[in-house]
Amino acid sequence: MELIKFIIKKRELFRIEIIKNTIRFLKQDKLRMIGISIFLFFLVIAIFAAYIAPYNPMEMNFDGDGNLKRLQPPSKDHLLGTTYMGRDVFSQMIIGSRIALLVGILSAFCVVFIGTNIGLISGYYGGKIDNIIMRIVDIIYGIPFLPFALILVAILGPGVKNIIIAIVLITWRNTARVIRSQVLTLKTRTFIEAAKVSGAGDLRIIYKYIAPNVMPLSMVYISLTMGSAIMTEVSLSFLGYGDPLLPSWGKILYSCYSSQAMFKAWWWMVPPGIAIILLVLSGFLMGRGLEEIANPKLRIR
Amino acid sequence: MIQNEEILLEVKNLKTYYKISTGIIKAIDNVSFQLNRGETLGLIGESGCGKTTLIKTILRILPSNGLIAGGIINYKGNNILKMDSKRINKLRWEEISLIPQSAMNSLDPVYKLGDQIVETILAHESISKKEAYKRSEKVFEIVGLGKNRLKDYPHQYSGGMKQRAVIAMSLVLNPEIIIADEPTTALDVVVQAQILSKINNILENYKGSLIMATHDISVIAQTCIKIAVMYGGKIVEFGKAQRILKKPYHPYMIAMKNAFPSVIGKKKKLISISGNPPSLLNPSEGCRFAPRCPFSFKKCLSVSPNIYKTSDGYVTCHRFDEVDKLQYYSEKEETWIQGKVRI
Amino acid sequence: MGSTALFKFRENKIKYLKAVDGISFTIDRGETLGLAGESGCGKTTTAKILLGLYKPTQGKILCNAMDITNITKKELKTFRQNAQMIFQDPYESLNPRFKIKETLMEPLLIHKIGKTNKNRLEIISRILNDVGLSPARNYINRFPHELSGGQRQRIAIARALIINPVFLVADEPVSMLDVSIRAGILNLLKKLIVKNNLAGLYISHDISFIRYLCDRIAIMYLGRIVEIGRAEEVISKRYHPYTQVLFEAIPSPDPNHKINIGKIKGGVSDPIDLPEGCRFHNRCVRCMNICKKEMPQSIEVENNYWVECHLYNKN
Repeated sequence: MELIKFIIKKRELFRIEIIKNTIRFLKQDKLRMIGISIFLFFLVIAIFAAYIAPYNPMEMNFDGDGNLKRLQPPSKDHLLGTTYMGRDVFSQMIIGSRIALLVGILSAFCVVFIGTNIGLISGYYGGKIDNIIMRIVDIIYGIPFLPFALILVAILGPGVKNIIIAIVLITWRNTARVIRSQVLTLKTRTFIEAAKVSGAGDLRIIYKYIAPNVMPLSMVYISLTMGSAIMTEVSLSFLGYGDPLLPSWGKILYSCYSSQAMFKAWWWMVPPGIAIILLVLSGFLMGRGLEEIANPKLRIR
Repeated sequence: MIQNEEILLEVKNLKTYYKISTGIIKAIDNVSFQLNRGETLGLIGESGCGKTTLIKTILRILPSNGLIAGGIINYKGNNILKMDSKRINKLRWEEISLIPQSAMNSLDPVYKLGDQIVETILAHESISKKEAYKRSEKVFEIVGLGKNRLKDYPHQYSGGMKQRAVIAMSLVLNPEIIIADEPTTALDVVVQAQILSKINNILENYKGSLIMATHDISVIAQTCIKIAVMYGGKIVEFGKAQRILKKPYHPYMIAMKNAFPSVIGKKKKLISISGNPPSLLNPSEGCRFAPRCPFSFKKCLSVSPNIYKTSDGYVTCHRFDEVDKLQYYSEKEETWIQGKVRI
Repeated sequence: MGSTALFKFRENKIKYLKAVDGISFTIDRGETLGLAGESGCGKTTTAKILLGLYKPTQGKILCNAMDITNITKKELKTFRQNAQMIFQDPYESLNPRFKIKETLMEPLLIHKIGKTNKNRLEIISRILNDVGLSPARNYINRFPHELSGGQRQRIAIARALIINPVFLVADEPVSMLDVSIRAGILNLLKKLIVKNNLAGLYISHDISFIRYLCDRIAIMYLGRIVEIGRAEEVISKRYHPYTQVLFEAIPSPDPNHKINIGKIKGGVSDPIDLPEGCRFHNRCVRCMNICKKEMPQSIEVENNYWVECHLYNKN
């Protein structure tokens, strides 16, 4: 009960203090600003996708004479040209941004949530619990990611949900390990001992004392995981395991490839490629920028 | 120990400031003293008083935001502040060497001690490696460490041994002056006693001069002939250790005496000074100790005290002429409680 | 209350590294025991065991006649309301992310003291006053890094005393503070221990401060208590050879009184590799044959004054 009250209270704190400080802080590092700007750019597009996209991405477009506008280069009507099936690439890109961000952000949060909690518990309790959890992590490290994702999607069926599940089931291993080692160093610090002497129970110490100190690192992993989750979705879609109904960027590349239009219709292949690179890059730049909070020694004076 | 009246080091009106984003920290503000050959000088003061800055200024190892804003430091008549970097490099370690604070952590963990000492020697003198090694054996002997220890790594040494090793390193080029910055602070009391004895021993045999910076009055009492009491970036009292430790003139030093309990003699009341050491960021013009001084009056807060010569040095206090009265009242506990008694 | 023994702590061993090897002592309420010794002698380990941070391998700890050596988590929490500690490092013992208000609120929340928030804030204000930090409103919303070392240590004391414990352990509380500040903190501790009738354990390697604060002194060497008695007596009589060496090594602020450190050889033995018999025999100038073979027993040389040394064997 108290834990919930505590979380609600903390949320308030987030609003007031963080906004002021964060903006000032963000301005300091150019690369970080670039990362965030790119991310926000795509985020806005994704949110307003329905209003921005001029056409239905799956709709086949015909010209005045009733001919399918197949593989048309960019024009006034179709800013990024059309696909083999006459579909508007620009609209597909816009709507596709939604998938990219959905997969990226949702996976990132789930991965880091799971990974952080496991890292906290494993690191704090140590002993048998730590041993068991770390053995599990070791085993999971041994599982090659893409084959596992392919198998899972083959079993559960293609779809955004299952892709996210596949990503989350494996990727938490990294965060868990890193958070755990942070916890190991934190738990020996004197103020933790002092909390124990004051009578604080284990859960209280983990979530009120240690967690806030590992949060910065978790934030870094949210950003980095977002990038890798998007790449995973792209890979799976490109291999044909993506969601058949939704026009993700990976799917666009897949369609382009399977239509054998890769070297004929550059307007079909290049935009998703660039968008993927930019979004993943932004994840990395943000993560790298946030690392400064996690590791004060990197801070620019 | 015969004390030559030859002046080895003369510091006059030295000012060292640090520039930070919010202003200027006047770490040392108009400091003057002199060190004769064969003398041992203790710099006593707490954190922030300027001792470490003073040492760094003498050796010209200030960080990049430190600037020497005035004064001279004459070593054997030559101004250190005007020397070029080649001359300074020769000066460091050959003429003036340093035992830095937390010296034990300044030993390179991946090199054997012998190699470290030899490297230091060879950086300054062009003698053979064999000769350099012989000399390191000799200094190890002086500090009471066995020759075979030269083949060990720092982690194989205890705390006391590391400190001895660092002292040995400071001796290896036969410097005229050794500066020790809190050399025994991290050591146990028995080890500290052994090290202090050793230091006294070395000074007697080699007629060197020593500047020892510490906050521990007892350590200074054991090793130093003269004392400079530092507070807030200035030297507030300077003179013979014997006299200052028995009958200090400056209120801060009087207070320090009251703050040190003793194991010998009667149990006495510990009197503390209220308040905190002053911030040296854009400090006031008045006496730096005035806000905490029970004897201060309006003048003290705005006017910097003059330097009054005493029989063996000087003191900077507006009420120096009433020193007997001050000493009488300082023994009473009520004097030091905040809410000043008008004395 | 009165003269009932508050803590009995016997025969405590830790495996492999005998950090603390067979020590016993009692502390009454209103009494302060000083634990002196050099680094590695086991004093900090003792403190942590007493507070339940480590588990003793063997032995018992009794607090108010309650055996706390093997207790449940719930009982431990109750015990924690009675026993508190002040740590050496004022910079590390406060959570850097908590405001002072939160730091002091924690013990109240944990032990459910104070009915309303307003009530708790009043308790906090009162304790801040007691430790000399007033007006409280100048401190409650600050972070530790905004305060000086002395102020931080006062907060640590406030945190320890806010729940009204009966037993207080202070582990080198002033060794990291400036000299002119130390006296203030020690005077404060002394005042509060007397005012609240606490049983105190003061740990330090600096004997001069122990003398100032404590009624009784215990000298520790390599995990054992070699001498324990009333403070003034231990200081003047110094039965055990190690005690003699220790006191002689303490530099005096009197320049005419130079240390005479001839009487000891070598350094403290590695606690993993202990000598047979008396732990101190390899450095002791009065070592006898029996010292090399047999560990000395605790001998009562005077009323409630014990020494562990073969020199005082009555036979």
